[in-house]
Amino acid sequence: MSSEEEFIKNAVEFLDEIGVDTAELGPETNLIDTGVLDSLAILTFLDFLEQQWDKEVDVDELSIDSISTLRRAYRFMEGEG
Amino acid sequence: MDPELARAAQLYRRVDHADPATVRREAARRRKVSLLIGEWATDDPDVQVQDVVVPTADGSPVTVRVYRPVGGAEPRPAVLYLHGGAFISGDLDFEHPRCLEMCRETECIVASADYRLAPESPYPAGLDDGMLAFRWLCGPGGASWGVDPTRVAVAGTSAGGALAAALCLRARDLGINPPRLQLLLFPVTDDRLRTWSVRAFTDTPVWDHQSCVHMWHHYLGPAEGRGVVSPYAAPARAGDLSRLPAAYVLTAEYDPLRDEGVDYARRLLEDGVPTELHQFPRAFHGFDTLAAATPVAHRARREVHDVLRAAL
Repeated sequence: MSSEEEFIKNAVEFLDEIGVDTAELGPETNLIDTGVLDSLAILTFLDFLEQQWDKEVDVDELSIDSISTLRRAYRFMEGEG
Repeated sequence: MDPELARAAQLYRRVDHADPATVRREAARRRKVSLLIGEWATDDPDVQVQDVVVPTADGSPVTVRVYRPVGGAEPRPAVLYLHGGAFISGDLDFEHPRCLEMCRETECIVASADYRLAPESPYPAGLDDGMLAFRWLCGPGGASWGVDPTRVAVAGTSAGGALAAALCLRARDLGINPPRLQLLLFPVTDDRLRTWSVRAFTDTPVWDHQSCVHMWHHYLGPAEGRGVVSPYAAPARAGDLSRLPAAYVLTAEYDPLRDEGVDYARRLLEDGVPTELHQFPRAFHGFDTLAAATPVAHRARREVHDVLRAAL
C-alpha cells in the first residue's frame, strides 16, 4: 500500500461496490457510529484490508476504534494505529 | 434472490468445510465483529440465562444453557434447541441471540445443548448429548426450572435439525415420551446427496453441495467406509415416520438442503404426522439469522415463535 490517499480512493471504490452509500464518505467519516457498515460489511472490509496489506487482522485483538474511519484503518494497517 | 437478502448473500464469505478448524475460526470471527459493534445481543432484561452442567454416568457431561422468562406463571412449556454448524462447529454462544429472542417472544423456557462435535466426536455423540439434554429437560432437572414435561418441543437448525428429527425417531423407538413438536429449520436429513437441489446447488450463498459432502464426511467418516447409515444419523433413512411428533419444516429455495427438507415433510405427512412446511422463495440457507435485520428474516422468526406458542 503506497499512500493514504491511494488507500482511501481504493477503499471508497470498494465500499461503493458492496452497496455502501459513499456520497458523503470522507477519510474522517465514522463508519461504525453512523451505521455505514454493519457486521457483514465490516467483515468484508476486513477482508479488503487484509488483501491490500497481505496480512491477517486478528479480530480477537481488534479494537473497533482502530478501523472506525478510513484514515484510522490506514494507520492501523500500517502499524501506526 | 430476494432483494432484501441479496446484499447479505453477496457479502457473506463462504467457508470451506473441509477443515473444521477454519469453520470454527470463521464463526468466532463473525461473532466477535458482531459483538464489537453491538449487533450481537448478549442479554435481555426479560430473560434469565444460566448454564447448567448435566452429569452423565460415563463422565461426559453436557452443558445446557437455560433461558427462562423473567416473571410469569409456572410450570411453563419448553424448547430444546440444537444449534446448526454442520455437526462440526457451534457452541452455546453460536445462536445465543436466537435463543434469547425465542425465549422472550414465546415465553417458553429455551434450553440450548452444547452437544459434542465431529470429527473429534462423530455420530452418535451429538445425538446422545441431545437426548441427554431432552431427558434432563423432561425430568427433575427441567422441573427444577419450572418446565411442564408434557409441553416440550425440540427445535434444530441445519445439522441441529438432523439431531432434532433423529431425537424424535429415537424417542419413539425407545418408548420415551415424545416432544410435542419437532421444529426443523433448514434441516439436514439425508446423507445420500441425491436430491435435485443438493446436486445442482454448487455455488449457492453460505452453503453448497461441497459443504454437504464435507459435513457428512466429518460426521460419518469416508463415504466408501460407512456401511449402513442409521436413520438416527440421517433421518431420511427411516422407513417409517409414523407416530412422530407434529412437525414444522422451514426450507429456503437456494439451499442444497431444500429438497431433502421438503421430502422429509412430505413423507411425514404421508405417514400421518401433522406437518407444516414453509418453503421460503428466493432465500438462502440460514437467512433468518444471517440476514437477521431483513423483513423476511423477521417474518420467518416470527412465524417460528407463533408455531411454538400454538403448539405448546
